[in-house]
Amino acid sequence: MLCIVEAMKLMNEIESDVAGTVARIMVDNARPVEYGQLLFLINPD
Amino acid sequence: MFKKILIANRGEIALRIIRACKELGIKTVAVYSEADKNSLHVTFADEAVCIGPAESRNSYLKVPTIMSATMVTGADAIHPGYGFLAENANFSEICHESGIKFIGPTAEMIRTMGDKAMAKYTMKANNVPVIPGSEGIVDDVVEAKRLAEGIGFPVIIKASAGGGGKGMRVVREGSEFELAFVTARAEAEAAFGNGDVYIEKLVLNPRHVEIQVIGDQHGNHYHFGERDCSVQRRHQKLIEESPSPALDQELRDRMGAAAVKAAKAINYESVGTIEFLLDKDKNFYFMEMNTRIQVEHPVTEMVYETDLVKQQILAAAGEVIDVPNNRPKGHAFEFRINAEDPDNNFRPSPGRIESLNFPGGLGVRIDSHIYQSYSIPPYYDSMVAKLIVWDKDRNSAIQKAKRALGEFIIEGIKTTIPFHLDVLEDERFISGDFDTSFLENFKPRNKN
Repeated sequence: MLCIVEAMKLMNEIESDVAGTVARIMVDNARPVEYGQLLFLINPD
Repeated sequence: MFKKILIANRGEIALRIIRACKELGIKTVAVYSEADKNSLHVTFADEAVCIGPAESRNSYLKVPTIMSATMVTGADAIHPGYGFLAENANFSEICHESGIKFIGPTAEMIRTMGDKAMAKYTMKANNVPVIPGSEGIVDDVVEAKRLAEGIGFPVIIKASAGGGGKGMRVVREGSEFELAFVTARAEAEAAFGNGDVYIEKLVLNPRHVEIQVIGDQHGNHYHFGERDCSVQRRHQKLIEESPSPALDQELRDRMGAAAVKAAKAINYESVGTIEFLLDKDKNFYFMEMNTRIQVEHPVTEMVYETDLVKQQILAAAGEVIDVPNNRPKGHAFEFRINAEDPDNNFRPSPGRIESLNFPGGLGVRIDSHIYQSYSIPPYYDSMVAKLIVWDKDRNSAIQKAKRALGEFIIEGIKTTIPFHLDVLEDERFISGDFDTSFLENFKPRNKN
């Protein structure tokens, strides 16, 4: 699990599609995000 | 009688309470966050006070700010609605100590019954059947897991302050337990400002049948029959009806008597709901008591021809409540219209309402705070409207619901309207023979 996206009071657990290392986090904690927005850059194993 | 009531809530329920107050000749004060400044409850209240930023914990859950707004406006009572502070015993206590009437039960009643774990203990002591589970709140994940293993999987983790599916997780095996426990606690903390959870054995495929009760300050307690809320997705109710297709008058009398006994046991005052699980052999088990007005209260209002919010306010003002021993008349459904996309796993769909048409006609009721060009904020619950229909029997009410949902147009966001229309075509739903697993197996007719 990478993070939890809170929308309309529901906590959505966001899982990674690939195994790897998080290279960069593209957003700040507790900031609004939109559909399709880039959240993490991941280096696949 | 109260002169001025502050409504510590938002959305449709704030509007619902304002309507009851106006009809009773009571002035109203709305409170709102910065994200809700264009909301209808602000428009229709006599006064409105901004209580902070969008995040609930800094506005609708912020007790000192709400108390300040009450003092500044000179309100003599607070109606908490549902959610937010409605089942917060400390808040009820603070109101009492400040000389403000909390329109709901006392702190002690909330602690006994609103606290789901202690409620179950109290019911057990009063010989009402309960589901096996933890004796109370469990804080420690290791201890919690050990308990769950003792009860036997599947188990359900529930928020003690909860409702609406928030802070709730089903765990089918031990390996999933730790993550589910931590997430449930975080969700409960975010939604209710209280992260306490308890554990119960999961009763498979029951119906959810709840009894509406009311108590006044003179020791009178009554029930208003049942609501069947078996159409749920992830423990979130989507369609409610009264009467339940599973109950006859004999079972209604028995469940009603059990609910009144529960209310009497703590000398409950205000409106409340005793939730039961009803298994296929018609055994019922106490699940929890909600010490507040509930989202789905309108279906009861329709079949019992009463205004529960007005009754709640009158009871809080010390009036004697008198409910004739009446029976449900006709049949009512409530459909929750949520800003969610049913084609994409019900994902939230906040945004601007570009175009809106509310249905109308005899026996059609809309409780909603939305209007054309209103922007639904992403910070709060996804429910944007409740459609309530009433007709002489269940089949006629289904036909009316289809007609009304067909007229209900909301453009700009995705909603659960198409989902409800699909459910109304489902043979099992039409037959009335279904349980809380109904939606797990439900296939919309326009897909396969």
